[in-house]
Amino acid sequence: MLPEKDLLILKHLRSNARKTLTSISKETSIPTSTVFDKLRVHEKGIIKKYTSIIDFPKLGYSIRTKIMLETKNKDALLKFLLTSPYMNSLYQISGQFDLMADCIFRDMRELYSFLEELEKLDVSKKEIHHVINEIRREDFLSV
Amino acid sequence: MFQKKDLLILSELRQNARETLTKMSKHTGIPISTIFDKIKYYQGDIIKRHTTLIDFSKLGFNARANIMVKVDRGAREEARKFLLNHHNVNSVYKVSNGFDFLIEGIFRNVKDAEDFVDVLGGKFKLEQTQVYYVVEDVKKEAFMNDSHLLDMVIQNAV
Repeated sequence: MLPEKDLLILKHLRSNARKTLTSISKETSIPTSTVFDKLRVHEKGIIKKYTSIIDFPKLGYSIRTKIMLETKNKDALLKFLLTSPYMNSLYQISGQFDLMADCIFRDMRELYSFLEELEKLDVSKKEIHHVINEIRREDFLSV
Repeated sequence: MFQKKDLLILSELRQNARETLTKMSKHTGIPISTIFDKIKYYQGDIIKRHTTLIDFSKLGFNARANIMVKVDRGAREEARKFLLNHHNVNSVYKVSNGFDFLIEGIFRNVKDAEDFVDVLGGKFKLEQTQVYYVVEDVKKEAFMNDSHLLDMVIQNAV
């Protein structure tokens, strides 16, 4: 189990990844040098990435879909999905499907073009859910 | 409409939200002052938040579940408030096609995840439930990340 100090630092970074070490130090009462050292350690393990959460609809990308896929040829499907510019996140999942793809498109035309390409691959089953609204995002362990 | 500059800056932040303005300026050819102004301008609007993606399994949270639920119409707002505040919930989306919510929950183990689903079912009339456990993250928050794919995105921008 991670020491409380480390967890506190991670929580602050979950809330705002651009927070300065000085700010984190002030808010947590952990010396700046300690915050720096802990960050360096965790960037090699627990911390996978710092990223910005973007309001994609405001950028003109109004279609977001969660697509569940079952396939007989996972390699070919993975290759297609990983090279697609529309792919945001991709998970291998358990249950009646193999993969869950979180995809973002400008409009329905792009979505259908993507789905047409998907049809050419060995997809035995698929389920598409459109995201109507984002209620919460990347909130776990946030301050 | 957005310019290529804006998308390049956002892409830099998508790849590394802690990147210094100096490095972003070097990568993009955009002056530091412009980057600073644009980030300030977009903060809280197009940029919802800067966050850190964590390997939760290294913190002892070994079960990540994507839970799809269809809730009785009368209980939907209450369910939304419950999900908005629950400590095991990472993300929640309102979705279409047979379900109301897609919940990404993070738990110490499968039992805790199943207990959460039971609590949901007990509190709100769930008409339908589907649970998928994440076996592996193949890719996470990659949209607008890969610079070679960004060209395609930028081409479509005005």
